[in-house]
Amino acid sequence: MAQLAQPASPNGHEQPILQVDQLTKRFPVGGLMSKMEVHALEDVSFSIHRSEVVSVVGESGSGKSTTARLISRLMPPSSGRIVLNGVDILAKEPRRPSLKYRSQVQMVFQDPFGSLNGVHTIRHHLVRPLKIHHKTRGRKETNERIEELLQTVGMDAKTYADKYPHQLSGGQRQRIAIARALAVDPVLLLADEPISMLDVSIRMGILNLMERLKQERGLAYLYITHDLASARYIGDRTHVMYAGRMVEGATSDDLVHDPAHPYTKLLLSAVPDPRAERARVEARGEVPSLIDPPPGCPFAARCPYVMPVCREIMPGQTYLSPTHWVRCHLFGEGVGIS
Amino acid sequence: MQTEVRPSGAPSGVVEQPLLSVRNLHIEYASDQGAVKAVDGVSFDIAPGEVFGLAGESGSGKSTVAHGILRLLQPPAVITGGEVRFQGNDVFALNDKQLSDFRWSEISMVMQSAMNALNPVMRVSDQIVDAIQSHDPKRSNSDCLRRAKDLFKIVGIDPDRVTAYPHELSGGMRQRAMIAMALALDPPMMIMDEPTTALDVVVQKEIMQEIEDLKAKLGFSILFITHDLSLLVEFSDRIAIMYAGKIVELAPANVLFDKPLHPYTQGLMSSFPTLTGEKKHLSSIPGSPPDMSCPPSGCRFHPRCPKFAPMHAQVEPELIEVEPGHWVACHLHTLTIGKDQSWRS
Repeated sequence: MAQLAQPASPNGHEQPILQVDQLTKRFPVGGLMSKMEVHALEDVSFSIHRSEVVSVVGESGSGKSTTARLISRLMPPSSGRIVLNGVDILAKEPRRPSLKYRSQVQMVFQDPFGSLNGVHTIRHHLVRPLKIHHKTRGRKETNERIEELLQTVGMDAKTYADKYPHQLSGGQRQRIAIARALAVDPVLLLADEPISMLDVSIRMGILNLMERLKQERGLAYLYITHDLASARYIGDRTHVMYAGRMVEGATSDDLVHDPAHPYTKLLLSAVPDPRAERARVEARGEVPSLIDPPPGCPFAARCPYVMPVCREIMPGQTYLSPTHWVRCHLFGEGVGIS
Repeated sequence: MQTEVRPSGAPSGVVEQPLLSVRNLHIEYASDQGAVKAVDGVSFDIAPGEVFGLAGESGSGKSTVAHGILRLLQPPAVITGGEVRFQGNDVFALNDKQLSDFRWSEISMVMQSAMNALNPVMRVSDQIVDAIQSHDPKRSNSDCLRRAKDLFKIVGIDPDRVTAYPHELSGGMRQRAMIAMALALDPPMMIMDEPTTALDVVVQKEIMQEIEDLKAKLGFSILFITHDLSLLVEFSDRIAIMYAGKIVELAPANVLFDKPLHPYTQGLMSSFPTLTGEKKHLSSIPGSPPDMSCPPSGCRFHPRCPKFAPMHAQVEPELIEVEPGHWVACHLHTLTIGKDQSWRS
């Protein structure tokens, strides 16, 4: 199999914090004897550097949350490599992620109402990771650290540390979820739709907090969203997923202004934008079933430019520029055909 | 008070013969801590064929208004005051029989979650037939089924799928089926409460196009409720912004987008990133939406307002028309327009 070319690093040739190679996840369905599988994630490769936000956009079922769950190792991939700071983590810790891995990679979930435990105080939520990961010694140091963590996410420790989750608003809860993730000094934060359940007026506060942490601490993010505008706002690079495949990746501005893949174009034309000329959506139909999908490009059934080859072979990555790649036969068959 | 400054009880907007007019609507939720004023004096008109957008954050009262119009509220919610007129008739004066005739044939509703709104153990066709026959018991089953198939065709689903159960349809198709049902009796008005929020953006766009085409063909009005301002601006004729149970600004969609006057609207408009525009730093509105069991005194937005003055915490601003068709409830505009000293009395 051809080696996948890696996209150029945005800051020179520094080693990426996270590199994912041909990550694949299949779920068996239809009972014990069935051989049917849901191809939730197929052959996904990308990398994230220090102080970089990589956005992943796609519709529901496109595999974006599965990507985050595999990287956080909440579930094992069917195949593929996850390389953190140069270490092939699945080879080194095949069964369970080590404490070290879990402290380096943290996750922030979509639902701040479900991700905090209603019977425990905010302090408890922050003490737990500090204790489990042996980050502080003694009560005094722990309390200082909690104060510092809450301050980092813009909340006053005296007011909030002893409150319960239900006494906080959605935005405040999401800040607590971020503080909890930061408690163990991660290098990479996997943020799965962190603002989609929040009210419009407070969403930007969370994104700006993430941006500030990136600047101050060199924190890297995988930002998962269905909202292209916020993906562009915070993401240095944006990848587009469709039916378990990554189909295009570019710097966020390139992706919005110069999309190549027909699916990216469709997605962009569907975003409500009061400033834009009103264009009608061209492609019809819905996302195909992921159960034992036919060969070829998953978008072939909806694509206005479909060619016979599209139904046969999934194209590899074609680089349109050092930072912009696409997997589409319109641009050549690419490298790394699976 | 000057003559051109009309208080919120008077007709808002420039609708001559409104299809729907809501006046001074008050809705409260009874709770242990006393009544929660979810909707506090809301007035607006909707013209025939108009798309009227109602926007606001969760808890602002926008869905409560919609349910109040159709008298769908269940205790502990109580309508404590105001008037809703549809084509001149007082909706609150209807008896039970008249009310069930009124619902669906005059105003139908498309809910956010089709999975919850459709009965999961009944075929969609049976549910549509039910809706038609409850208003016209003499209509035959086969006639109603034919109508159901026509409706499916209208909203872009294969008519043969009409006998499917809700779980056999995709999310987008379920929402289309909901729209088909809402169209069943050709109502002059539809209330759409976050009709596309649970859907992916491509499906959302397709359905919104579908609705626009249908509206052009059939000429119904829409009360469109959502928190998604970009969608609302693109789709509505006029927009009202609600905050903490009150309308704080009401204007034609493009005016509201280009020249919002209320600091809350301004904050909202600058708190979502645009897809194509210049990439700039955006800020959110500080603080969080108020606890409605004890709303702030005076202007309810004052604790979060960047242009706060002490007087704003004491006196509630009235919704006034600052330009033809552009209404705002904000002391900054009461005073500049104003010489309106009525708050002093």
